[in-house]
Amino acid sequence: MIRICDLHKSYNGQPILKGINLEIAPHELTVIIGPSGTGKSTLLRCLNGLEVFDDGEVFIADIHLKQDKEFHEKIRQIRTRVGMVFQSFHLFPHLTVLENIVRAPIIVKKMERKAAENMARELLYKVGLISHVSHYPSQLSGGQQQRAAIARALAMSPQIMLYDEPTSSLDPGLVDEVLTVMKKLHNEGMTQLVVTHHMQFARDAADKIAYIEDGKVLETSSPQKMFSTPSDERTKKFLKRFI
Amino acid sequence: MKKIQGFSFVVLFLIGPFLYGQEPLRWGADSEGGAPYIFQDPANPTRTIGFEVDLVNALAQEMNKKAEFIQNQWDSLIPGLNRKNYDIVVNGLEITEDRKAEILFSDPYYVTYEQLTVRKETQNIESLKDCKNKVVGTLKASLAHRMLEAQKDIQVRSYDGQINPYQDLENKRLDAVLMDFPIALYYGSPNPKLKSVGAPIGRMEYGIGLRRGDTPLAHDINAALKRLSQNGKLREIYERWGMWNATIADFLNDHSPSRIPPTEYEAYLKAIGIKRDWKEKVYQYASYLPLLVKGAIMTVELSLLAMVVAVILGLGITLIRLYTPAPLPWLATSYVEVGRGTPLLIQLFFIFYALPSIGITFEPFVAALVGLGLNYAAYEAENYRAGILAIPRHQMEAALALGMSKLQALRHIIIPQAVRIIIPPVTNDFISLLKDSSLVSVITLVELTKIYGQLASTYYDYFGTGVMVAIMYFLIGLPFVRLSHWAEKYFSFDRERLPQKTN
Repeated sequence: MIRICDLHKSYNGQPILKGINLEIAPHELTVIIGPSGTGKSTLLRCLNGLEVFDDGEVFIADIHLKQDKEFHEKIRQIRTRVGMVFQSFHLFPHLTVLENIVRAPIIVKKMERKAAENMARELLYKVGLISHVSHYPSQLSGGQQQRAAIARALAMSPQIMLYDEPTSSLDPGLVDEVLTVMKKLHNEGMTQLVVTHHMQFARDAADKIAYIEDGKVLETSSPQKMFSTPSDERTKKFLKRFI
Repeated sequence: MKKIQGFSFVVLFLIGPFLYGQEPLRWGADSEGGAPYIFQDPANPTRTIGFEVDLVNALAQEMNKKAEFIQNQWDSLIPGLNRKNYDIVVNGLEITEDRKAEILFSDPYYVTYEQLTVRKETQNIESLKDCKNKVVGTLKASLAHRMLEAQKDIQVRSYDGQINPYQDLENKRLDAVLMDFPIALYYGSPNPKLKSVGAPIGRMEYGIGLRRGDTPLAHDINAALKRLSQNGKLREIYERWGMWNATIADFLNDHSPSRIPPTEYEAYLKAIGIKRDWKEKVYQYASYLPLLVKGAIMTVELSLLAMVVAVILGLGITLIRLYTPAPLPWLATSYVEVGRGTPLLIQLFFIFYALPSIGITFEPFVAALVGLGLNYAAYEAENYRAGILAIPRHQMEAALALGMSKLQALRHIIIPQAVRIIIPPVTNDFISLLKDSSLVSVITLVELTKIYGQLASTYYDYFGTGVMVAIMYFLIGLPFVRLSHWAEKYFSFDRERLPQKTN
């Protein structure tokens, strides 16, 4: 579903990704962990073109992305097939929850408004926000906003969902309602890639965990193995307080 | 056959007058405070009168044409002539060598001299020589101005209008005023605190200005002028306006005794001398309304359309500046810097009077629209930029991540949020544009402020008329201020407007 080969990226001559190799199987929930500032978010943003990588290739949602002439066209295709959820939700504050969800399908996919609204209501039901259809984002709690943001991404019927620290700006009490939605999607077979610091979620829900440090994937394994007998010393050190 | 002949006769009879002389005699002049040349009739301000109005009408009749008056600022009359806003200038234009280099003159139609006016109590000023180390006022760009400049040790003050120098003389800001005799007659003599002194100074001839190369028209006009002077109609006009004196009698070589009384001059003296009680004052002000409303309509039309141009163009400039590859943003930035860094007045002059020399000639209204629109676009562009930059960058990212193009993201996500932010500054600019639109009187348009000048100078009433016009500007702006408040609310997505949180 996703294959990342020798991905490089630097900012102002400062290398951030130093040859990332990673494979993500379909229908799996993969979690990326690692110390802050090691390029986890950058890696995620390279997958849908919010950042442009310098070198390497990405196979994602049946598209082969590399530095060539069709790069920007491919990125737009990828974005219609891959949903993304941000740390601070980034809902559109001037639109109601319903409008936040229907706009992209109507504008990008030329979906009928009626059909888009029906679909939006189904998605809002799924994430538990059916009673907040005509609320504005500023009227919602953080957890509700993040669930609305997930529904917004799902409205494009993506094959893959990317999450960039989806629970980091939430009050601890609101984290579970978001994770529950992600688990639900996992049960439905969605391919998901999650950057998170929420170790308990990683251990409980992930099919696979990748550990990234200093711009490289140091280790990929199942949660059981990662949290009991990590092979790399640095992983061991990072996970010490969770094991 | 007979029938057809009859029919064509009727048709000829009907359209004949239009075929013959269908080209009107379009003449330019400045009617603001322009007695006795051309000015608003104090008895009925919607009417324009003056000896030059009578002269042009008489000429037009001689030439079998219809006279059509076009208003322009006095110091722009020649540029307006050259860009074909009108075909002749008849406005006390003295025939001088340097003007002859620029335009063609008809034969002179009036000959006169400069007249010195001082306060009643002044004893020691009777000639230009006596004006040494004194402050003397006159009209900008006039022959009198040049005469004064040529003298040494005279402090010259130049004015735009004819009323203000005499007022300043009365208020002791000036020691003397030097003006053409007709002006002194209409603005100096009626004032009981002033007196005309000394012998006639200099001699000048008023001629009708035409474009160089327009000799056929000059020929026609000269012929018509000659007929008018031979059949006595020209003299009649000058007599009616109280302008018949030894100088003009010499010029027309007609020394017979006076034939008709100066009825127009007397009517003028009566009209400006009337002391009105408050009831009559109300009627008088009410009589201004049709003119003021006409001016206000022009102001509103122009401002609204110019704002539409500015808002649309400004958005384009900002989008280019923020979202296109080099060197386009550089061009957009330069536009903004030049647009707001140079005076609007200069831009209007440039568009109206300079562009025709490279083949771009706009109608006055279109020129005003282009000038105001282009100028304000620079300001609106900056408003938009501020609004768009105020929207967090992640809003764009979120829209892009959903598969929208940059343009779609701008259109649906960024600009609607930015609009809400820029409503107050854009309203501000609109009100400011409303007032700046008064500058377009320099390119022949007659709007509210020009009407103010005309009315105030007709009645010497800068105060009452000024208050009226100020109120009108305020009232015009008011609905737009209300609209902006409403729009601000409508576009807002703040908690105050919305139902309470339900969780």
